[in-house]
Amino acid sequence: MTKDPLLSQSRRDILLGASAGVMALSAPARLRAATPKHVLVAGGGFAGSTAAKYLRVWGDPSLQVTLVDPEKSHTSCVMSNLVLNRSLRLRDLRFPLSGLESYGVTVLRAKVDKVDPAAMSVKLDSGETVGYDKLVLTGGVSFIGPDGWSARTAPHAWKAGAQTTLLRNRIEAMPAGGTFIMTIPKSPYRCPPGPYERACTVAEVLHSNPGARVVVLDANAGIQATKVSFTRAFNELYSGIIDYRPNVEVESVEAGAGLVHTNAGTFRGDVINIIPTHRASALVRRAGAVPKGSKWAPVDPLSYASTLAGYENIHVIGDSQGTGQPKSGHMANAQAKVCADAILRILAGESIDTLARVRAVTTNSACFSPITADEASWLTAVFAYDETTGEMRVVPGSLAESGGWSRENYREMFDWSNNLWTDTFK
Amino acid sequence: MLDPDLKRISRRPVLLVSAALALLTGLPQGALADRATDARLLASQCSQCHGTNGVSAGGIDSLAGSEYQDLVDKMMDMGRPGETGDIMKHQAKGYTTYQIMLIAEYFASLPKSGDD
Ligand SMILES: Cc1cc2nc3c(=O)[nH]c(=O)nc-3n(C[C@H](O)[C@H](O)[C@H](O)COP(=O)(O)OP(=O)(O)OC[C@H]3O[C@@H](n4cnc5c(N)ncnc54)[C@H](O)[C@@H]3O)c2cc1C
Repeated sequence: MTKDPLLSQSRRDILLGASAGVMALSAPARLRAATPKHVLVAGGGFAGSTAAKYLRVWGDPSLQVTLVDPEKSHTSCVMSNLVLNRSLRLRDLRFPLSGLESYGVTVLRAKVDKVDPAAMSVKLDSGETVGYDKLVLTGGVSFIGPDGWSARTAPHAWKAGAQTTLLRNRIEAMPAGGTFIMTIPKSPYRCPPGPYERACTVAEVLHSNPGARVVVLDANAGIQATKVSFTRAFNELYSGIIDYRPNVEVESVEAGAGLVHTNAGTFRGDVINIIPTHRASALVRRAGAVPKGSKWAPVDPLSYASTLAGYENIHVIGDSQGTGQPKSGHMANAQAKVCADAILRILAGESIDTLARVRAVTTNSACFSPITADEASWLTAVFAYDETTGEMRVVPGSLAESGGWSRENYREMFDWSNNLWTDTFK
Repeated sequence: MLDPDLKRISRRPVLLVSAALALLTGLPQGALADRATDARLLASQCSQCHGTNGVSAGGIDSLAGSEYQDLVDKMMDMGRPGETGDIMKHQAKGYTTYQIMLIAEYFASLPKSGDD
């Protein structure tokens, strides 16, 4: 018997495989690299946690995977609008990253401060330097706020956590007949239906506050997603409460005075919810993975490897990448699997652009939005790799929305989110 | 579509053939293993809703251990033009016949999950 722990691990795996019979033997997939390799995943949100998990589920047992995140648990933005009407508590949305240790992922509680692509190492806020063979960068999004804006006085609640609680408390403390103002940034932003869903949730809460209004200032020319349902909800269900204004761009905010200055004049509100312009996370930008003049990291959708020179061993997935696919948790999970598969093949010396592999590269999105306290709508699409353009493209016929809302959808929303969280964090 | 002759292929799910070969030789066959890796990647895109390795966390059907032909038939039926109004009917339209076959081969090759 060998003393090498890695080898004995893989022997055990082979034995387990033999007893599991058909399944393990038909599974291809433990692509073996010549020497043990290390993949470092920065950020344990939807993208990073899925990547770390699937690298270990699919990879050779000798593959070392480290997940680095400053938080002990990830707080899911997905379903966080339901904290605003107390259908859920914030703690229902917290997922301990230690959940991935059972797959053999090493979880480090730290922030990645610096990335050195040439040396293939990162520096953590603990001062430690960690090397990698492949680096996966995530981090979600960062915000560019209007003049005078602060998240303390005009919360975004677009990253779940203390901001969500702050906004909920403000809504609950709104004076009788008060005005809630929310602003929507130009696309792309994370969760295309999210702001409209929030408008509905807040309007529903304010039903019990006669005269209260929800003013939605949208920098875009119209509703960006699930348009049929939201148009009907705004015009019928919440007419007289929701005042939707397209093409309104915020210029500055005076939260103390309750003022939002825009290209369409000044609006006054009792609670102000600014969802600012988005760009790639500070982590991804500081790594140098976003070119000047751009907001997102350019990547190859066959692997999510950066297309910048010198960044061949750095992959960017989730909201920070710039393939143009919708920025959602479901999508971040989908991209992470394509990325993990590509990394494993590359480390094993295999190509990732054979015709067969290219035709297996798909992603999809499914998104439920609550419209009332117990009814929801949905939106879905499948994306496939387009061999001629090298881009991900919506498959015709797969893009659809519910075109209304129902109690059945509301129940399915919990089954969907529970499965998405489990596939990502557990 | 790589193989329009669905019916002929569908009687011989390749992953199961590959499994049988692997049992005989003790090693996965190169090309067949590639096909299985492609199938695994495709099938993993079902897991956001149907669970890791097709084992659902609840409320939505598990796919692990499905009958190959049953899964292909269901996906082809849901994917017909005019079938609308349900998420899966639109998801099904997102895949080619070849991709549906690979996905079905993959889930058929996994053991059925304990919950049913
Ligand atoms: C209100 C709301 C509702 C939404 N609803 C849905 C929905 O219904 N369905 C859906 O699919 N999506 C939804 N989304 C979108 C979804 O939350 C995001 O698209 C998703 O979280 C993106 O995943 P990510 O991994 O890119 O980023 P995140 O999930 O935000 O994860 C980023 C992680 O990186 C970590 N990090 C940041 N900087 C560093 C660093 N320097 N070093 C180490 N770690 C770092 C953070 O701590 C965090 O854990 C919603 C979003 C919002 C705001």
